[in-house]
Parts: sequence; structure tokens; C-alpha cells
Amino acid sequence: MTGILFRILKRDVVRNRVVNLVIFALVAMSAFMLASGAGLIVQLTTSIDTMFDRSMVPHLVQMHAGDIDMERVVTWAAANPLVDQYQIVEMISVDGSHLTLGEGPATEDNGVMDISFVVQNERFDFLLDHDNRPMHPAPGEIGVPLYYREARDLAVGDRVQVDTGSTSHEFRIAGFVRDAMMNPSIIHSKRFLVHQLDYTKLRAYLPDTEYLIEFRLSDTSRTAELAAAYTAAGLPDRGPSVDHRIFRVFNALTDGMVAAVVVVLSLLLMLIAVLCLRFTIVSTIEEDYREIGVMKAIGMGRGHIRRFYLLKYIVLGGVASIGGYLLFLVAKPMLTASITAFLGSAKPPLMLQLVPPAAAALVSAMVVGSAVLILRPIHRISAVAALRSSAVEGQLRRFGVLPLRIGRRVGVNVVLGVRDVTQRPRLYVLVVGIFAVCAAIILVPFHFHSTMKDPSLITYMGISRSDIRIDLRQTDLVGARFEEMVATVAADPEIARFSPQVTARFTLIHEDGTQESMAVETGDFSRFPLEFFSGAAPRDGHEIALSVLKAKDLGRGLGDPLIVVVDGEPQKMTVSGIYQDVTNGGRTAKAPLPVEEQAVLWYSLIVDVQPGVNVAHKTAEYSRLFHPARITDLEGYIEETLGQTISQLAGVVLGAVGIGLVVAVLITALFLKMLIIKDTARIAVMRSLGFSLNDIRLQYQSTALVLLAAGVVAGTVLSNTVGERAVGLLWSFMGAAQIRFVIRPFQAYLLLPILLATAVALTTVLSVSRIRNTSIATTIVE
Amino acid sequence: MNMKQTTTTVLEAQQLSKNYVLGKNNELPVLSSVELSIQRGEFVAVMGASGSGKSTLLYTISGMDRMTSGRVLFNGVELSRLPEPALARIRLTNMGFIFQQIHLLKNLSIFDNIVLSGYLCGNRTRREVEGRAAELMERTGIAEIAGNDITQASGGQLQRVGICRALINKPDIIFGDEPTGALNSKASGEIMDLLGGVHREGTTVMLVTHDIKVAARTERVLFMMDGRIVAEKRLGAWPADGNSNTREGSSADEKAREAELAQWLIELDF
Repeated sequence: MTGILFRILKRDVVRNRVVNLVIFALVAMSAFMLASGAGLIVQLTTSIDTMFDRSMVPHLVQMHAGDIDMERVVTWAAANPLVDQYQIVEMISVDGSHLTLGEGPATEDNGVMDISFVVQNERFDFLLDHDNRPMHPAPGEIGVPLYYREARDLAVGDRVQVDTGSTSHEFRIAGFVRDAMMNPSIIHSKRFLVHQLDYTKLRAYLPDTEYLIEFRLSDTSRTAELAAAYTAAGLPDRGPSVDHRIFRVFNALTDGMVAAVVVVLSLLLMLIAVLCLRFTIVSTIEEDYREIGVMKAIGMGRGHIRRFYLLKYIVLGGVASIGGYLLFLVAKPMLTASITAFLGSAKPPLMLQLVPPAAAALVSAMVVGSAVLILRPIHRISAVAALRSSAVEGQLRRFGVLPLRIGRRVGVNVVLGVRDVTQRPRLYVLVVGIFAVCAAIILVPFHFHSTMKDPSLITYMGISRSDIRIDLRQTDLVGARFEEMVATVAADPEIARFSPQVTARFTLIHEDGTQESMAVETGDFSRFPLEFFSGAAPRDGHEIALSVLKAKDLGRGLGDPLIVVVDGEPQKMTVSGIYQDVTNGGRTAKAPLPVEEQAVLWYSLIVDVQPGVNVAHKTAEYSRLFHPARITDLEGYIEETLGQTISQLAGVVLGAVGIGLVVAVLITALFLKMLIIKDTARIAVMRSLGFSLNDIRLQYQSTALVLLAAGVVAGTVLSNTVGERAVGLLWSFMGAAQIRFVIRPFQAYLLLPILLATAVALTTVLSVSRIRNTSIATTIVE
Repeated sequence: MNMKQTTTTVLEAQQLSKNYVLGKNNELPVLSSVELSIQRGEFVAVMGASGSGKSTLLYTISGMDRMTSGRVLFNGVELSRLPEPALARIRLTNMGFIFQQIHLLKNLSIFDNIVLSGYLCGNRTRREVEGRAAELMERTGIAEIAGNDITQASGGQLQRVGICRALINKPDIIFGDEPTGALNSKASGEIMDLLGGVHREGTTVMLVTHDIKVAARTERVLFMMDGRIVAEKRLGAWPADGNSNTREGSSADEKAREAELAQWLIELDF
């Protein structure tokens, strides 16, 4: 029996080469992509786990700029039962203009990163080397953040120079450090690791320091509690406080997003494979309708009959999935290169060995499962009805018929081709569906990439869209300095508009009387509006806007009350809006409130230049004028922080365009092949009526292009609705919960559809050229 | 289920009725209270005009189609009470079917099409099934095309393949629905010779046909009209044929039987 089944299989494979090949390719591709996506996710999480484990990442970090009373912190931490370990890390802040990486001559003057120099920690928060061991540079050596290896194309042995004008210090790169906290490019602080001797020397002429007050907890779920206790104790807190969950999210961001897009693509491909399967199986059942009737009549059980048809899909699904998995094994080093470089390779964990093959197996299970479901109608075929029937075509519903007289103008063949679509809608709706998914495969990553590249993106990240952003960290007498800056900017004729914003600590009073300290950005939010997830910017001192994460922490929604201490008095405020934020740990608030100087955390000034003014020049000018403030031109900011993600996404977009086109070509070939077989008699009749082969080919080309057009329209709608939501879900990993696609209409609505149409048209030309040597007489007699 | 029996009645229909449901409260009676009994080893033909219910009778008494009322007993087992899988098993093991269009599986060779039912039946070894198939193919004159694709055989050859497929499990009864309907007269004669041989070996055969020549080869002809068996004619045993020495004599007998049958049918207004 098994022998017979395999002989059936062998003959089927030979007879239906094209159809089987297309399904094989689709299943193999989706197995490859699902294995890759799953593999990437596992590699990512295990690499992060290993890195966090080896570096002993702190669970809570309070940043602080300015003087610090270490004794108080130490006494408090030693007495707090939540604290397992603690340390205060001193960092020397190095201005970008003093630092040259590599052979120069350019300094890091225009870089967006806050650069600091540190020594290796003794207890935890280790900066790791290539092999995930704490790095210990010798005197004269330096450990450079991995980010710069990619961004500045550095290598071990290259030079790093710190030059303040009066003194100069030169280092050789000993290696690149993996910094569990500050590795991701999206975090704009970077730590350089040096020997204690060099640190002491640098400290002598670079007096600006910042502190990281770091804690490890025995119960990591209680970080919020510890943070609240810390601020309640009035300890040094001039800077944001961040917990380890944010480090994890940011570390996972770039590769995680790529992995998620790959998984989404693989699921779309699987959907296409299943749709194709449905199409081919339904066609086969229609074709074999009477054979199935005879099989039933002569007493073959349902199980037997189903097995004949199912075997092919079991073998096809299995072999294709194995093929896809093998392809994954080949491509794996390339796929995981970025993860292993940035996060280090984990010891091959069992999960990494198991998950990708399981993902591939899942694809084959889906194929077989779908085939079982699609084959169910076999049960319903009545032996008697099949034996008595001549054809099943009568079952097809017909919709409106396009009158042929239109054809005088646009050509009878085109009209016949188009009319066929309206006459056999059930046959064609599936193909339209597949073309729609193809269009979505191309458009969703494309829209996502456009959105990531668009300057408006930052408004989803809690940063107002502007040309230049000026940040000034709180140190002594900074208030006056900020006033000067505002006055300078106000008097600058090249500036179109500006808005000073001051972030300060405010006290929040909960219903139960407990207090919580909260960073609130104050200022006028009407000039540089943010994108609000819900609601709007606060208009007066009685309204406050919260970031998504902060609102979640506080359990507050739109319109809910909140009591904040303003000028020493509790003041009832209403939540006017919720916005998305990725800055400062994603937990922020905005309200136009009066600020007390001693509560200020940092100052910001957002500025738009007049039309025609060069933003880069203005940025450079302000950098000189406003030292030590950090001046960022926002396009540059996006480039430096999201550049890596964007370029990886660009790769995904290219891949998606390739996949979309390949799938469209495969489906067109498959579909036309089956259609032409199905229509043999129809074609013969048309030829006997005097239609030339070219006429008939034109009809099929018209049909294919009409289907594609319908598919592209459906796919565009799908991308802009479901696709946008799916991407919004990925985006929510970053603390942002909603995103509106930035659509580039020329590429999305013209270029890409034309590309798809060209591919489909070429395939159609090739496929219909097979309508050739069919004998009119034999076909009609048959 | 072992259905091999030694009782004389193989198949019996009692008050067998079948209506086709055309719509709500709209049923078309196709068989009306049919009474029929077929004895073991009989060779029976069912004739009648198109729409008289011949094929429906065949499909219903073979358990392929459900009856509306009445009983069908096959080897003493009441088919109407059996679930579909049990009916399928009986058709596979104890019945053989030959159709006008034989519909072989296109992804199988001719040999595999024949042995498939034998393998599925599962009560003999593979070797036994293949031996039986080889013997049947030898007997029906298609041994040389065993390995061929079904597209490489003529209509007559394919019908022989159908006969081999029907006989592979040594059934108690062979049902034929216009088995020669798609063949020319030469091929038709050859197929009837084969079926005659099968019958002589003891297998019960029941055919539905329009063709007087085919019906004349059987022993008993039933005539149907409007869903009922309205007349029956016993023609007696067919003289031995297939032997070249007696061929002329048999041909004369054949003619006489055909004439007798034609006369009977004329009397019935057919």
C-alpha cells in the first residue's frame, strides 16, 4: 500500500511540476523566515540574558549631575532591606569637541552622544569585552563603546585622543565594550572604559562629573517601590531614574524589530501558502470529482481517499520545511551577526537548538492541517451524484456581465479578459486575496521604514519636532546660564520660533496620602506640539499630560484627577492627554507649572530656524556659544540614534520587496498554469471561432492585470489599516502605543505597484505563451 | 465483516422506494415499492427507458445511495441499517462495480489501479493480491499493458481494467451500469464474453443496460417503468461460447435470443 502511495506521489510530482514547485517554494520560504524570526528572537533574548547576567546589570539607576553627598546615600542604601547591592559610579563627562576617535581630525563635536569616561566597577555593572568578561584596560589603553566601532569604523589598536587644548591624553583601543545599560544607539549616553591611573589624570583637568547611583535588588519586581523610597528620602536625584526593564527593551529594540517584522512576513507567507494550497486542492477535487465518486462507489473509505490526496502535502510540507530550516542554518551566522556583535553570543542554549526547527515544523504542521481542512469536502461528495454529474461548473455563481459592445473602444479581448473576472468570481477572489497579501508584504515594511526615517517620528518619542534642541543639565548657576541662552535665542534674527522647557521634580500626592516624586516638563506646549496618544496638551496650570508608561504606573487615564504640590500647596490637576515617550525611561509628565530653581533637573530649549538658514551651521554656532549645553540638530539625532535600526529595516524592506515580487510571480505562474488547463475546452472553442493565439493571450493578460489591480488596492487598504495596527503593536515595545504611517505616495502608490504589475505582466506573457499546440479538434471532442 | 454466505438469495429488495428531494415539499419518486430477489450465481439485466429508475435501483440496492423506505438485504444483512463506513466496506469486499466511464486514478499505472482495492481490502497478502491481479489481467488479455499509464490504453482495454478491478476481491456480486455504453460493438462483445465467463465461474452479475445485445447475454431480464419492475423474462442459460468451433452455432443462438427479447420489449411498448 505504501508503495502505491509513493508511486501516486511520484507521478503527481512529475505531472504537476510547476504547481508543486510553487507550493514547495512558498512553504520553504515561510519555514525559512519563521525559523529565522524565531531564531533571532531566541538569540536576542538569550544574548541579552547572558550579557545582563555577566555584566550584573543594575536593577535601578538614579542619574545625578552636580554635587553629591555619598555618605547619605550609602547610609540609606545599607539600611534599606530592598537593596541587595549598591554602588555610586563616578563618570567624567567629556565634551565631544575634546574627543577624537581614530585618526581624526574630526572630533565628536557634532555627535549627539553624552560621552563619559569610567573605570571598571568592582561589584556589578561590569563593562564587558568581546568574550563577555569584565574588561580591564591597561594604562594607556581604552575600551570604546561598541556603538563607535560601527559608527566610526574603528578597530582594536586605533587611537583615541582627549584634547582640551591645554592638555592632551592619548589612548590605544584595547577592545570594544559591551555596556548592558548604554549599548543601544538609541540611548544617547556612552561610557568609555580606562585604567584607574588614566582616570585620575583625566579627572585633574576634566572636572565635570556625573554619578550613577546603582542598586541591585533581591526582588527585582520591587524597583518602583525602591525608586519611590529613594526620592522620598530626598537623596541626590538630578537626573532621570531608569530601571532594568528599560535597558532590556532598548537592547532588544533594533534586532527585535527586525525579528518581529520577519515573523510577521513569515506569517503572511504562510497565509499565502495556505491560500495557494486551498486553490490547488479545490481545483484538484473539482478535476477529480468523478474519480472520487468512483473511489467511494467501489468501497474505498473516506480515510483511504483522503490519504491519497494528503500524502502529497505531508511530504511536500515536510520536505519544504526541512529545506527552509537548512537554509536558515546556512544563513544563521549572517542573520545573527549584529546580535552577537552587540550583545555577545550566548552559550548555545537548548532553546536556540529547539525553537527554529520547531518553527519550521510548525509551518509543515500548518500546511498539513490546512490540507486536512481543505480536503474535508471530499466527505461530502456523494458517489452517486459524482457518477451522474458531467461537471461541477454549474455550481459557480455568476455576477453581472460586462457588455461586449464596450469592447469596440477598448478591444474585445481586453473586455473578454475583464469580463471573465466578473463571471467566475469564486475562482478569482482567492488570487486577488493573494495579490493583496503580496502588496501588504511590500507596503507594510516600506511604510514602517518611511515612518522611521521621517522627522515627525520623534513626536511619537516624546520629543517635539523642531530643527534644533538645546539641553542643559542642572549644575550650579545653570539657571542664570539658561536665562542668557533664552535671551540670545530670542534676539537671534535667524530664529523663527522657540520654546524654553524646564524639567523639574514635583511631588505627587496619592489618595492614601503617600507621596511620590515625579519629573514634570514645564513650558508652553502649543508652539511645538507633540503627537498625543489620546487627549491633548495641557492648556493651563490645572491640566497635566502623562506619558503612556507613567499613566500606566499611576493607573490614571484621560480626565482623571491628580494632586501635585505646586508652590508648596497641593493642587488638583486633571489628566488632559497621554503621549508616547521613550526619553528618560519613558516615565514623564508635562504641565505648564511654575518651577522652583532648586527642583530643576534639566533645561531644554527647542528652536526652529528661519527658512533658508543652515541648521548645521546654526547648531555649530550654538555649540560654541552655549557650551556646555548639548545642541542637537534633530535630523542628526535620528540618524545617530535610529540610524542602525533604519538601515536594518531598509534591508528588511528590500527583502520584503523581493519576497513580494517572487511570490506574485510564482502565484501568477501557478494560477495561469491551472487556469489554462481548466480552460482547455474554452480556449479550443475560441480558436475554432477564429480568435488568434495572441487574442487569447491578451485576454489572460487582461484578466491577470485586473486581478493584480484589485489585489493592490485591497493590499494598500490592508497595509494602511491592519498593517498600521500590527506595526503599532511592535512599536508599543518602546512605550509608544500608536503610530500613524508616514506614507510616501510616489513610491507606495505608483512605483511599487508598477514594479508588481511589471513582474506579473512578464510572468503572464511567459505563462500564456504555453497556450500553443492544443489541437482544436481533439479538445472539442474531449 | 465476513459476508461470504451460502444462502441462495444474494440480494433482496422489499418495498424499496426512493424519492429525490427537489425542494421544500417537492419530492420526485424514482423507485416505488420495488420487490426484487437475486439468487446466487444469477446473471440479471435491468432494462427500461431513460428515467425509469434503472441506475437508481442499482445504486440503492448496492448501498451506494440511501433509500427513502423499504429494506435491502445483502447476504441476509439489512443494508439500510448500516452506517456509511460499513457500507463502504461491503462494497469494497463483497461487491464489484463496472461503470460506463471507468474513471481510473490517473496517478497510478494500470496494474496499481487494479491491485489498489485488493490492498485496501486487507484480507490477503500483497503477493496474493498481485497474483490475483496478474491472473485477471492474463484472462482479460491486458497483461502486456500492466505497467502502462492509463492514458496509454484504448477504451476497450480500460473497461477490461475496470472488470479486473471489480473482480480483484472475488466479490459475491458484480454490478454493471451500462458497462459497454461507451464501447464499439466489437469491444462491447468482448466485454460481454468476459462477463459471461465471470458469471459461469459462479459470480452473480447484475447489469443495467439499454442494449438488447447485452441483455440477451443474461439469464433474466427485468423491465422497469416509472420506478417499478413491471415485467420479467427468463432467457435461460447462455450456451458456452468463446470456442472457435462452436462460434457459428452460438452466434445463431445469440441472434435468436436477441429476437425473442426484442419481441418481448415491443410487447412492453419499449
